[in-house]
Amino acid sequence: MSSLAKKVLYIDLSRQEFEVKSHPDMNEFIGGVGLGAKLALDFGGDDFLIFSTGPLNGFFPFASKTSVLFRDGGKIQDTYLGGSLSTRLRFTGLDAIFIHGVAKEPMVLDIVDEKVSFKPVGEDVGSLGLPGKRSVLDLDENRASLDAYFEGPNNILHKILIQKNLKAMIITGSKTFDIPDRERYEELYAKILARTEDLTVEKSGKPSCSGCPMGCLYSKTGELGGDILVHSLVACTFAEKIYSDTSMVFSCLNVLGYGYTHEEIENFPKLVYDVLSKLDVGTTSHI
Amino acid sequence: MAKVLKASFEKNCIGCELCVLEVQRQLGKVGLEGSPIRIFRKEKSADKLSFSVDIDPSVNELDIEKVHNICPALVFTLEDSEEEKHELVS
Repeated sequence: MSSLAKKVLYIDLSRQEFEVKSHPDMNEFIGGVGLGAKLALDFGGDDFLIFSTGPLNGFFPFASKTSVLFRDGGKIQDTYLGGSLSTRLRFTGLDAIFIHGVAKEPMVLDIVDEKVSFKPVGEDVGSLGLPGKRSVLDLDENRASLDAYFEGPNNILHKILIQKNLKAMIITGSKTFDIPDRERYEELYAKILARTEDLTVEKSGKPSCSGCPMGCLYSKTGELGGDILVHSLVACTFAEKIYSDTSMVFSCLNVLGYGYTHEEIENFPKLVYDVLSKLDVGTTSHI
Repeated sequence: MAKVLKASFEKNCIGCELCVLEVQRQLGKVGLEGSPIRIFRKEKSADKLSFSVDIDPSVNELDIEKVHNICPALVFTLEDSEEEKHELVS
């Protein structure tokens, strides 16, 4: 197993404090819903709002979603947002953002890489973060939207953001990463990008998620539930044929320097289901 | 004649950023920082999201044909360099 630790930004809204922690022991949870579930089990109790990406986000096509995990009325909800958030979060250098507590006054979070600024409502959201490298999750009276277009399914984030007294969250990722084996990486990247015939969605010219050429009709609405490995990576469900293929996933992770074995990838869903069984997911139709 | 990259059909842009990631790969990195192509969101209304494409001339030192070809929305064209056009005229 690779020694790369999972890096998590913890934000306490009640105290307006934040802290970055590395978790070498969580590497086996890969990312996305797998990592989110483990964080919820170890640190969440009933109070968590976890945004997480996987190791392929920003690095490979169709790995374009961000996992969002929270508890709503006893049920664990896992939803997957499109847009550009996954690349921004990935390029902060973080694997996840774990938000807990409730802001005393309506609040705006301005996250630039590993730093957080707590801003009052009234701050010009457009002036926060870095243009071209930020995503804005914004709440109005009726809906929560990402970059003024993308949403979770059924406007699912609206309620939790209201509960947290969180008016907006701006996430800027400005880090860059080297690839040791560029030739192999680029070959693999091109091979995956060319596999549009394996996607279960059509091109539609709509605003697209980062790293996806499809601009499909469903980019706006995001996803609920689905394949555990795909949503731990965190890839699009329409690319399940590509990212549920253990050999392909192994090659992608391997070229980026992650040391996961085929067996670890194959056994990964069971590992996550074991965590979920301890987490009391409640009655939910999708996780 | 040398070619330059132009975002001639910016209104087609779907914000996928494949062009940004392509130029960054050519520069040997993955990320958004320091990219010679940047995509900005132009906020109009909830259901009318559009994008602007900002190109730094330094992009023309890269393999711009690859950048042109990776765009799924046909935003880019490869045009003759204006400088070279002027030289030919004079």
